[in-house]
Amino acid sequence: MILNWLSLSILGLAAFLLIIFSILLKDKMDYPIRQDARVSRLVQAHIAAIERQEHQNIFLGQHLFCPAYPGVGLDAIAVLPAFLDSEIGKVGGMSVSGGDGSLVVLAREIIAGRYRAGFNHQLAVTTPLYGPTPLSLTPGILSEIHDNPHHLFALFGSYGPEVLTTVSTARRLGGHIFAAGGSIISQATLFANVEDVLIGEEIFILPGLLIPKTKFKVTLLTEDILRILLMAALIIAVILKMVSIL
Amino acid sequence: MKKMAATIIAVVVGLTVLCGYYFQAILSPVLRVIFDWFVLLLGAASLIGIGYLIRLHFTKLMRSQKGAFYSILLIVVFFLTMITGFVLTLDNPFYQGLILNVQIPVEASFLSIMAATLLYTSLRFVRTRGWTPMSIGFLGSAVASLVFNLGYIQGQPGTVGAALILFFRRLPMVGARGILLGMAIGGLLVGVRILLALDRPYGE
Repeated sequence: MILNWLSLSILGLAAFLLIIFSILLKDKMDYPIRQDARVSRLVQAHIAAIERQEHQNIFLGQHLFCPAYPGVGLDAIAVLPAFLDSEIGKVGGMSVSGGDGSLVVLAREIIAGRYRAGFNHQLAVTTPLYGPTPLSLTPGILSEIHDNPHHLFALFGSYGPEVLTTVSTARRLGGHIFAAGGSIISQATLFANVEDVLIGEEIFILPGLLIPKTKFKVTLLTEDILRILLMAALIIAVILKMVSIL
Repeated sequence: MKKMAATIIAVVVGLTVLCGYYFQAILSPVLRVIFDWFVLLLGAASLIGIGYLIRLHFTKLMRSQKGAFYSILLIVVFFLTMITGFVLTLDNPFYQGLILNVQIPVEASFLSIMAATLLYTSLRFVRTRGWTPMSIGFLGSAVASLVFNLGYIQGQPGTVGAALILFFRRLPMVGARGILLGMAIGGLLVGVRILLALDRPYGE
């Protein structure tokens, strides 16, 4: 019962902060977006790929919904528009892949919506599904990155440590690699392998750093406040435990 | 109008599922219907996904692209497995044997490749990251965790040594919990953002 009330309070606080900051950030105040070297390198690699007409490979994860890590799949979908520039030429192009039919369908919707104004997105951006299970997906992506040399290989969403094989091959073939997402094991695995990898809650600030829209700035600010509150609560709980009050 | 309808459906369904967490007894019949629809939609989306997969390989085959041979192999095996599954059903011993003796050994061999890759990349860790406080911390805690979890180093119960060993054994778990808490906050905000219709990833 207490846990229910606690979770409801956290939920209510998050909703309250999001609404308040949405109103404030729209009219009066601004929240400066912090610079992250890893995200800056991702943006640079994306621009360089467009300028050089080289291929970009965006992987949206294995599942849209993962019970252990809820929200990671939707966060990957939120990041996608940041990569959909009208300058993506059909020579280089981009493939936005996923391991789940629902992910691919959503990605296609977003791409179609983005390029409604006459741009033939089907030639420049493809949305393949390389395999419906983690272990069938990996050989599929491996053959894709072998056949289409890429300048950027970015991984988002929910995935497991099996992506290591793909990432190490992509690394060997060259190009920039960026990872933001995955299970805790895959984050540890990729930390040892990829220079630009986001860990933990950093994954969820990525839309805010890539897309300077109010809705993402609001999330960034709210997440920062909740992080500070959580840290304070943990420290207070530890102190209370040490003095035998808790 | 289409966007508005999608937003209303998403918000109503999201709020109902959320309320169902707190008022299970009252909302369980509604939740069952929602989850049934969810599974149905997920199944339909999976079928569409498999359609994309087959189309991708057919295109490769038609254009005689690099790796077309593997596409033939994939298409043949896919249809063979699907037809066998439909005809024999999942309970058939032959079909079960096919899965157990082909798919599982293949997946196991793939896992062994992954283990070898992991070992190789662990050895290259410092070259990838350099000697930074983060990399030293990661490497140090990984080695300490491996050593302390071997069980060779034991302390007398009740002593400071035993408490320290327990502390080092638990340290990776503490880090993992920290990361999971951070991810939970992020996930919560993504959900609330969608419930408040601030973000519409399903049709923007």
